[in-house]
Order: sequence, then structure tokens, then C-alpha cells
Amino acid sequence: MRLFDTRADFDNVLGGTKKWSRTGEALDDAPNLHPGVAYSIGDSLTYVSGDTTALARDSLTGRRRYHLVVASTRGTVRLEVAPKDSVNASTDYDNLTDRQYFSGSGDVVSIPEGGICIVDIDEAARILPDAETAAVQLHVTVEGATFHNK
Amino acid sequence: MTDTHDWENPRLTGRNRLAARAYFFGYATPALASTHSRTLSRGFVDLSGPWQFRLFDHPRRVPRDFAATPQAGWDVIQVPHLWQMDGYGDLQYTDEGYPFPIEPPHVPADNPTGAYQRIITLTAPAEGERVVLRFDGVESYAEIFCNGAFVGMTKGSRLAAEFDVTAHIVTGDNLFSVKVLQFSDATYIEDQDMWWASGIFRDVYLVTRPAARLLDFFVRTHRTDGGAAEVTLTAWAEGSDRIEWSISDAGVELGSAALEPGGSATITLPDAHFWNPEDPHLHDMLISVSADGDGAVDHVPHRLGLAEVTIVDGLLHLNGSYFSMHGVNRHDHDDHSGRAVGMARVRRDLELMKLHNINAVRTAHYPNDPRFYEMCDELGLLVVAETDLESHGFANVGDISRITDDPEWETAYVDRIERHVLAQRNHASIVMWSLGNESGYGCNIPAMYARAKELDPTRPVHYEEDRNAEHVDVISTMYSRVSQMNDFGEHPHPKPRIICEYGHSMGNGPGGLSEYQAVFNRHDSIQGHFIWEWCDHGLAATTEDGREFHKYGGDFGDYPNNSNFCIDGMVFPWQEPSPGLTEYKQVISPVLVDYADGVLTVTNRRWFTTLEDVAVTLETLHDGVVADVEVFRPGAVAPGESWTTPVELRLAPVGETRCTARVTSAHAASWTAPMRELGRYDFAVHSAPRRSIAPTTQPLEVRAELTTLRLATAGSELVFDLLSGDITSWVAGGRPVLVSPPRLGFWKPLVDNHQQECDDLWTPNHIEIMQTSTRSVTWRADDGDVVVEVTQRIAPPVLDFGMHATLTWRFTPDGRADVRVSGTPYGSYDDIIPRIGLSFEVPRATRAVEWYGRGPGENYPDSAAANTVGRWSSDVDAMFTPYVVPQDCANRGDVRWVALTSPHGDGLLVTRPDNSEGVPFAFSAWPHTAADIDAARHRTDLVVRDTVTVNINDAVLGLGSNSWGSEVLDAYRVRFEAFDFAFSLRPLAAGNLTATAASITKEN
Repeated sequence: MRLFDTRADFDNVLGGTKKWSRTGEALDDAPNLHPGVAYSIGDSLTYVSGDTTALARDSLTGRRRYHLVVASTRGTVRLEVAPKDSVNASTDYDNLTDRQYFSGSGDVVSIPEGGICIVDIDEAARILPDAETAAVQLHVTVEGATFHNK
Repeated sequence: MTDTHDWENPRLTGRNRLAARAYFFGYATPALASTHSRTLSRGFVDLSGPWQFRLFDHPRRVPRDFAATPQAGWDVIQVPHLWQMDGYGDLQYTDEGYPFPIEPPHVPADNPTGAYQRIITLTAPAEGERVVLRFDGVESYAEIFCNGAFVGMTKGSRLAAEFDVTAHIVTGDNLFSVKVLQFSDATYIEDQDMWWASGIFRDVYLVTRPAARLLDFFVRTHRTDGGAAEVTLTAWAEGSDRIEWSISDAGVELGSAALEPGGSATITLPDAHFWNPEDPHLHDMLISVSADGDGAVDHVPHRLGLAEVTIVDGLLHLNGSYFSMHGVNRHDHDDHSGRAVGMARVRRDLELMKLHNINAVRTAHYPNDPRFYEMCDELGLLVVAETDLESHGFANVGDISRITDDPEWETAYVDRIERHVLAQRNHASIVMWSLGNESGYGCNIPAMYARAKELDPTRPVHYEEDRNAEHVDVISTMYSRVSQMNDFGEHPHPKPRIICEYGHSMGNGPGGLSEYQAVFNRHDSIQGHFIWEWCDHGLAATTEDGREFHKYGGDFGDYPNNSNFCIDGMVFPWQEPSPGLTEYKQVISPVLVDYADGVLTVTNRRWFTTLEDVAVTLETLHDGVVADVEVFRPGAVAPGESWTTPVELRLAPVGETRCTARVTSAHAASWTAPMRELGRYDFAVHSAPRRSIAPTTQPLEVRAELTTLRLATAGSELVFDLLSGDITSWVAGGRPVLVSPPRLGFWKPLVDNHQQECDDLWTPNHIEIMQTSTRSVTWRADDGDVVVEVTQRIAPPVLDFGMHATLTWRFTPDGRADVRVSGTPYGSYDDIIPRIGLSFEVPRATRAVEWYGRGPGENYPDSAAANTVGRWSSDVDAMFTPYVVPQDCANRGDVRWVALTSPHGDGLLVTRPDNSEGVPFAFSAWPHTAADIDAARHRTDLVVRDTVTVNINDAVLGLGSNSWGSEVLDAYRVRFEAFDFAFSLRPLAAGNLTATAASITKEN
């Protein structure tokens, strides 16, 4: 898990990489798009914005091919994160969704407004609902070595 | 010399070109009109055929008197053609790169120029008649002359161009001269992924239009809530003040109306028979234009499909019904003539699509011959009708939108959608317009959209790079991964969604189509998916000894090139389906069958028609052999509905019981005979315990020498090398069983869909050149058997990771060799590898193959839907799929046993040993070695060896489609990690395969 308190920090560290540059581009576009609708930039990522009450899930969710990235757009968004090997898989991994659900609990990470959190693929996470907060949720490809597409 | 040319001026798209219009022909009588044979239309003169031709390396080298004087000594070529295909100039293939420096609108000064001449004997037109010269396709810039006079100029290679030549036609011989430039400013927006080639590549002809004539028409359908069709015609005419219009069906007139030129009229058809891709019913429409006092003199027929596309609550509907498109992207391609593709080949393409359950085609990335759309109307294919636009090459300079966002180019961009819509808008099959492909985004896109909607308000408009569907009516992506499509489905856009390209079919593959389809089927908002692409663009060539192969980028000395990136279709260049198309057919089968808990369920996945024509043949298989057959007819099951029936299958008392459901349609059409298979499914039903093996009393003779171990039993002798750990000889019945030893390996010939993994993972880690080092070999007698344990290190040079492997051979007195193979990795590499398995060679005589497993066709872990588990037979040569670029092929999965035999019946049987029973494996067998296949760049590079390479694999990496798209899905990944598996090898004596197979399936 990597937490960037500001967009500037994120850009400084990752901005030179195509998929992370596109993450920034998505965050710029998101305010102008329909909330609750998934958009994409090339093959790199999909993203959806909304209140955290809409983005929250009941279970910790692990992914293998796409990082969960959460950017707070209103308030301090809370994200529960746990290493996969510290929680119990409650479902098999699903190729169709790139999701595997886990039971157990993790640490709560606070993402300040304007901050960005990247969840690694050896972690499971879930956005915690809070009517006062909103976020952009992205699924950013883990591809890098074999990524050259649109 | 001036530096300003018409061919370097994007504001100028043509000179004297007539306004675009619908493709139609006028006939002198209704009877002639009913033939729909354009050669019988008024004044039709086919100009396709022989033309005088010469290629110049500069436009100004064309002789000054070219327009007016027949040139002596020129070659004769056949139009339509691409001159490069006839040996003039240079072929070049690039995916997106322009073959010249980017400096729009400038193109090379030494612009290859084809000069064409043809003399036609004609009669001068009568008073009031107009003679129109039409080109259906010229690439990329043409100047046209008639009898020395300049007629006009056109750009837009795949857009029809018409010129009024009335004033130039004389009675007698008429000289037509056409100067065609390979490159023009238009080339910057015709940068599709295909061969750079040029010429008059579609038909050329003359038509004569009478004094009173139809100019154009636009017919559209509205379906009322009550199921009636309100058909509205707007028609334009000249020399007349009255237009008659009628609609008939099977010779019965259903309605008629009259209208004034420029006016509209509506005919209402109650209880109308609407058009859809499953029931492409066409009505006959006739438009007749009257001359003052002469009655009707211009009769224009049209095959009318009653079709209306609407968007309701963010979903596409056709005639009020939801639908989804199972599609493919199609380029024009013929392996002998390139894009100058004959209509017989086009029709065969479309029929093949229908035969493979495809219901939609995207005209990637340009309009087709106008007869293509007529065929789609007739056969029943939905068309995403794309216009001739792609400026992809600007991506190479980091600015793909450069001219798309430049108002200087608006005229050119808008011209392309305008001419396209006007030409095709009367076709029922066209479900949406597409503004082009991979041209970035900018001000010219909304301008095109606005013009499209102005000319046809009835149809949605698509353009993928309007990424968020800011303007267009359908949101679209390409190559989005399975889980990304699921994201879109879970969070749908207010507009309908399609994926206009996916499943990149380069070489062997694509894999993962079942998972894509599961997601598409799950979400209503995803209403179309289009495989990239239909056909390989290989060009036929012949070796000196007469063997055919197919060329691709670089084979003509072209540079830069994108090599075999154009060999990316589901159909081979010789127009036969690849295994990928067979897989796609199954994945999109319109009838879904399930069998569980004694109940057969048949679900109608069509959108418009019932299952009245469908039969399901259910075969019960005992250990792969058909034991019982029963046929079910679900009847008139409505779209989306299911039919169920209890079915009691007779179970095998010993061994495996499975069932296979074959779905057929009794429907017959011009493109299909009845009993066409729509799909096939198989299900595991039951497994009964097998009996134990009867112990053998035959002793095993053992003779150990310095570095060898000789094992003999009745009729069989095996020699083991105690240094290398190899079986160096195995003879049974006087014939060799193996000719090279089984060896553990992780490599197999590279498939195109793994090229990126190879470049970024395997080659840097030298996976393909791992070295085997045998560290120890020990042996012992064990309860009548002999056990040999071999420890090996398999690792790449240079690096410090690898696999510690142990192969434990157990040789039994009945002549069998069981081997258990385990591996433990060391070092840092833990990513994917092509396979884990054993490979060896057998004599070429041993090339008949019989197996109990998934077949009969090639299949891989992520491309296995089209093949079912059963007992199959073939031979090694027939199983080798002739990919244009040789690569791994011939895999069969879910295998219980495989036998390779000679014509005498002797050979080898491979199974799992007793303790691994129930764990299927995969095998492939080639008449070449892996190294042969990897080294070959064309099919004819391969020479059949006198041995057969056999691979028996515990795990095979899925195919994916990452030649441009999806990596192998996680579930189909094979990683460089610990493994443990076993095989059993048994020599077969002549004629005992049946008995041996029976013993291993029933008595193991």
C-alpha cells in the first residue's frame, strides 16, 4: 500500500509512468463525468467516482491484475487494508471480475482530501462508507513489463 | 514547377465530382428492374477489365498527351487491381506508421503514379440523357480525362466517386484516361492497418440516366407500438414532377404512394414482417419516375428491409427488441489480389460469418463495395458502417489528434462521413455509423457527427476515440480486458456500449473468449463485441519448387514494416477458418445447453426468433465412446427463454460417463444447408471406480553395465544411460518405441500471442535456452520393478535461478515405464512460463494418433469451448495447424490417454499412472521439432522430419490475446513454481491399442 497525501506527491513519484500518468488524467477528468459510471483510459485503467457510500463493499476485496487506487475527492476517505495472507479467502479468485473476497479485518488508512492510495496486489481492501466523503475508485493495471497497448 | 498540388490540399476533396447519392440503378421497365442485375440497367457499360497501364515514379513523368492520345507500348492490366499486386512498384506493410516523412499535407514528390487508358466504343447520349462515370474505389487520388478533356478529380479511396461525362462522349471510340497517385493529403487520413497499395481497385462503369431520372432517395422505417411499419420515402428527381413508389412482398403489392421530387410519402404496413439478422426478410420496393407525357421511364428497385434502430433507456433496440452484436472486424482482403477483392470472395466471407454464428460486422476501417451492404441485408448481418478514416500514424510522433483537431482538415473529415452516409443509408443491415478509427479526438469529430445526424437522424453514431461519448451515441472501447468490461457492466454508461475491437487473433488464439462472453452476457449495457480481425492479410507466394506460402511485412524488402502483425485474423489467407474462429462460433452459440442433475436445459440466446428449427442431439459416452443417442426438440422457445426436460442417462458400470449435446438447426438458406451445427457442449456425468490391474508374473531382466542399465521383458528392451539419466533406447516387438529420450522442459514454440511475454520475460531470462544438467542417477530393484531416480538442474545460462527436478522412473515387468516428475524452483524468477511437461521423439511411422480427451480440434486451456471430450483419431500431419507464421499448435487438452501408432498398429500409449488417474493432461505431436517451428518464418520453411515430436504436458499456458490486448487470464497462467506430476508410457504391440485402451480405461 502506498499513500500519497497530495496529488503533487503522486505526480512527483509516479508521473513519468504511462499508467500512473493516465491515473492523473482520470482524476482530472472525473469531476466532469457521470458519477457511478465506469470510464476508462486506454487499457490502463477504469475508474468510477461517487460517494463512498456507493463505492463501499461489505468484504475486503483482493485483486490480482488491477491495483485498487482510491483518491479522495471530498473529506477524509477511510480505506481498510490487510495483507491477503493475514485474512481468510471467502471466495475463489474470479477471472471475470479480478476479485477475490476475504474475511477478517485490516488496518484503516485515512486518505486526506486530494490524497491517493494505491493498494498492492498482495493486499485486500475496502472503502469504508461515510456519507460525508467521496472518492474516485480506479482499477489500474499491474501490467508494465508486457504493456504496450493503447 | 509549382509546389502546390491538388493532391496536397486537404480543403479540396474533389473536382467536378457529383454529389454523393444512394447506390442504385435505373431500368427501362419494371421487369428489368426486378432482376436487380445492374448489367441490365440503362446504359450500363462495364469498364472493368483490360486497361493500358504504365507506372511512373513521379506524376509529372506521365506523358503530356496522356489525356488525349492512346499511348503505345504500355502494358495491359486487369482492372480492378492494385498495381503492386501486379508487380508494379513496391508493397509495404505498416500497422500505423506512414511510409514517408510526416509533414501534412505534403507527401513524397516522387509520388508513384499509375496511368490508365481504355478506349470504349459508345453511342452519344440522346437529348436530356446524362452519362455518369462511376468509380467504386481508387486509391488514393485520381484525375479523370475523357477524350482529352479533364473530367474531374477525386480523393477518398474507398468512397464512390461519380462524374458526369455526357459532354465528352462521342459516337464511336472514346478514350478514358485516369491518372492515379499513390499518395495524397488523403493518405494522412487513410492510414489503416493494411498493405500500402494503390490503383483502381474496385469496379468502374458507365450508366446512362434518362432525361427524367431519380437523383437520390432515402427510405426509413418506424415501427409503431401496434407492430405496423410506417415506411417513409424521401426522393429527389430531375426532369419530372411525379414519383411513384410501391412496396411488394412475394409479388404482392402491399402499398403504394406518389410524391413530388424532393417530397416525402409514407406507406403503412400493418402486421409488418420486419427485418432482423435472424430473419432477414426483404421486401421489393420500386421507385418510378415519370417524364412529362411519357409515363414512367426510370424504374429503380430496392430491396427493402424494415428495420428501425432506437435507443431506449440507454439500450439499443432493433424494431423494439433488445439485441446484442456478436461481431467481427473485416478488412477487404484476398491473398492474391489484396484489397481488390472479388464479390465472390466477399460473399464467402459473409457466409462464413453466418456459418459461425456471427451476427454483426464492422467495416474496418472504410466503406466496402456497395454490394457488400446488399449482401448483409440479404444474409442477415448487422453492420457497424465505418467510413474511410484513420490518422493513426500521428501516434508515432505523440500527437494522434494532430489533424483531427485541426479545422484545416474539417472539410476532408466531413466529406468522408457525408459521402458514406448518403451512399449506404437505405440498408436495413446498417445498425450504426462509425466515424472512423484511431484518429484521436478533436474538433473534426463533432463536425462529422453533426453531418451524419443531419443526413440520417435515425441511426446512432459510433467513434471509439470519443472516449467518454461526449458527442457520439454509443460509447466504445477497444481491447479492454475481461474485468474492465465487467467494471463497465457494473457501472453502465447512460449510452449503449460496445467493444469495437478485442480478441486479437494473431496466429494461434485468441484465448479467453469464453470469459469475455460470460461478462458480455452478464450485462445488458454491453451490446456488441467485435473480434480483431476477420482474415489474415497474407499475400500468396510460391517457392521455386511450387509450394504455396504467404508473405507479410518485410517479405518484399519493405522497411519499416510491422512484420506479421497483419497475420491476425480468424480466417487464414486462403479463406478457411482457423481454430480461433471455431472457438468463437461456440462461445457465441445462439443456443445454450446445460445438463445437470438429470435435467437438460436449452436456452434461446437469439434475440428475435424461436427455437422451432432447433434439435439437440444428446450422446451418452462411456469412456469416450458413444453408447446412446437421443434427440430433443425444444420447440418454439421464445428469445431469452429456456426449455427443460428430465433425461435419464445410462451410466457406464465402470469408468467415465459423459454426455455431449450437439445443437443443430433445420433452417436452410442460400448460405446453409439444413442441420447446420450451432454449437456443442459436453458434461461430466458419472465416474465409476475401476478395477485394479491384474499383477503380471513376467519377470524383468536387469543388466547393469558401467554407465548403462538394460531392462528386458517379453518382446521389449529398454536401455537407460546412468550418466545422462536418459532412456537411450527402447525397442518393443523389434521396432523402436522412442528415438529420443523423454526430457523435462518449460519451453514450447512461441505463439504470437506470447510475443510480449517473450520479449519482456522469457528472452531476458533465457527461458528458451535453459540447460539440463543431470546431477545424479541411481537405481534399485523394487518388488519386481526397477526404479531409477534422476536428479537434474534445469536452468538458464548467465543467471542464477532454475529448477531442481527429480524424475523417478519405475519400469515394470509388463513393459511399462512410469515416471514421476517433481520440481522445486530456486532463485528469483517466479513468473509465467510456456508449459511444464516432457518431450520426446518417436519414429515418423508412428504418426497415427488416437486419444481420449478434448477434440477433435486444436484446443488450449483458455480456448477449449469448441471441442468436447471423447475418443478421437487423426494423424500428426493433419493435426499440425498451418499458421502463416509457424508456431506452437496441435495441443489437445483434458486427455486421459493418447496413443501414437504406426500402420502396423505398434507404437506408444501415454496415460497417467494409477495414482494420478483422473488428472487429465495435454499433448501435442508435430512432424517437426520445437526448434524447427521456432526457426521457421513461413510454412514452407518447415521440412517434415523422419521423427515425430511428442509433448506430454502437465500444464500449458493459456493463449490470451496479448499480441495486442489481453494477457493470459490468471486462471490459465503457468508459473515457474513447484510441480509434481506423473505419466505412464507403454509400448503398443501391433493391433492391441483397443485392448490396451480398454484396459486402462476400464481396469486401471
